[in-house]
Amino acid sequence: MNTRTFHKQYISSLEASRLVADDIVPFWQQLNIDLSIIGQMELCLVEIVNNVFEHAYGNTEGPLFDISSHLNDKQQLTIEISDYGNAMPKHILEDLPTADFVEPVADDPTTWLQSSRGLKIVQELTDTIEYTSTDKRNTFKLLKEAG
Amino acid sequence: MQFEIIEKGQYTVIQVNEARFDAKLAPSFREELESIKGNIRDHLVLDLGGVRFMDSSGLGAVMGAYKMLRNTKISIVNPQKPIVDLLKLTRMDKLILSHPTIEAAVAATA
Repeated sequence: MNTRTFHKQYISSLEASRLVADDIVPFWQQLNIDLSIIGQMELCLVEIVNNVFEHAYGNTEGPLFDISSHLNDKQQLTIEISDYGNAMPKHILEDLPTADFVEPVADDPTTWLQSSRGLKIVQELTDTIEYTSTDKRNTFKLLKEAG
Repeated sequence: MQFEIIEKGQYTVIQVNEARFDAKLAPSFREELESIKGNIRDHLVLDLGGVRFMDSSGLGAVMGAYKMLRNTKISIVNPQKPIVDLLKLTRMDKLILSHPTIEAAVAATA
């Protein structure tokens, strides 16, 4: 058994991210990954799992998604989240690097909003974020230097 | 109880008694807020001491409180490091200030 690789399938729901976190955080801890990096990657994973539920599956409970993660010899942590629902429009990921978090101003409610806040968090906390989409499978691939 | 409401003087405290303030908890928080908004005093203090994890949905729920209660001061107290880091990353720390204790939050208003 390769203890450096994690793979499990889940049922999409509003609370699926909790089940995923309960499984994968101990796996990362077993790999002796720094606790601050585990916390950041837990947040990224939760954001993507919620994104799958809300957007790929339109808030429908029941469809399946897959999570895999592994740490290579160079201490690079990879996380993949695959769904079988609606693909995300390509421009959303392309626009993220130029869409900085807006500093909110009390008197200006337009500054309180942040489009794609969850994905922006993921982009900020990971080293690489990729998204591929085939006819039936959409995959987010996150990479983080864990050494 | 997921939330405990404490009313003292000019402030109302919502103590979040859940480890995860996420997409699952956010709707309950909004419902709780909706049910008490008529009785919230001048200053709403969100005690997040028990919250060890918050995602963008939790953050959105806090922002929802800010939008709903336009004339009420809102503070966060006793946040754990991941919550402080998230507020800082998303720059929401500029809008909603954090304090180590309820007393410090109230003193900052005075």
